[in-house]
Amino acid sequence: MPVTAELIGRVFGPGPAVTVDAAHLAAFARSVGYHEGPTVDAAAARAAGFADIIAAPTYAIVLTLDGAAELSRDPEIGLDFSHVVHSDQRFEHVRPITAGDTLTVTTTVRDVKSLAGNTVLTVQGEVRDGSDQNVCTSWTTLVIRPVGQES
Amino acid sequence: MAPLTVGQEVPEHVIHLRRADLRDYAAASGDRNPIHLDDDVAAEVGLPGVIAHGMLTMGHAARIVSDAAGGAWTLRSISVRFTRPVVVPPQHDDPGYAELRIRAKVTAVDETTGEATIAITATFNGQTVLARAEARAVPA
Repeated sequence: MPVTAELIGRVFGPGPAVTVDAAHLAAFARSVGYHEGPTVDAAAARAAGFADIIAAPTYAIVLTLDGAAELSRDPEIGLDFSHVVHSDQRFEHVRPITAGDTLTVTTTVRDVKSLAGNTVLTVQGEVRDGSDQNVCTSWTTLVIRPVGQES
Repeated sequence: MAPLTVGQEVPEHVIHLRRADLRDYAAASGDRNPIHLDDDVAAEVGLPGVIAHGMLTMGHAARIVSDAAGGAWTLRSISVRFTRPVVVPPQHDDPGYAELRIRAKVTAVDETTGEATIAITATFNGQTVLARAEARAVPA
């Protein structure tokens, strides 16, 4: 089954539990321009009342895009990421992702439609912690061009 | 930090994105799509050269807004539409970077919670690269 409206509502995961690493959070934060504060410095994070380094606001994409990649690993769906453009992104945070958190992502197909010969896919990625509490939710819209039609 | 007020502006930030920044973001995020790293692959899909990850532009926008509100955790939501590619020239070009300009403005404040709605403007070569870009922040 390719990416069609029949996929709407389909749930993938939860995927494997991932323990968030402080050094990785800091490297991500630096790559988007944070140079000081709780996203890169554990002492600053503790001084601000957090248990450890916290994630930059868009870090959850590292977790949720992997969930979306489940669709590319499903041989029946066969989503080819080399033909995908990221068109929309939204995050809603409940609490900061914090170093040491063990998180899982459950991915739900929210919308599939056709637009000018392309397929437009919206997936929701729900990030939950080890207590099964929602930490963050991401909505990603991808435009998928038909294979063999470059440009 | 003082509460945000309607009409308050986050001054324009100028960001120079270099190829090395794209490599750093690819390594940190795990998004190693070659259209962000390899001119040949970018050309194959009809781009004039390697382009910045949309999430790199969004990440800078989120940082700038969160810094204005008092830190990373003040930012409770952010949504954007990626409208145009940001083409990043090689280091040896003049200039060897793409210049992003990001600014923001508070459009609403919830009197009870202090939560501010903030409209974000991001341009590259004078053209919008993030549309419908909006964040909500609770000032620290």
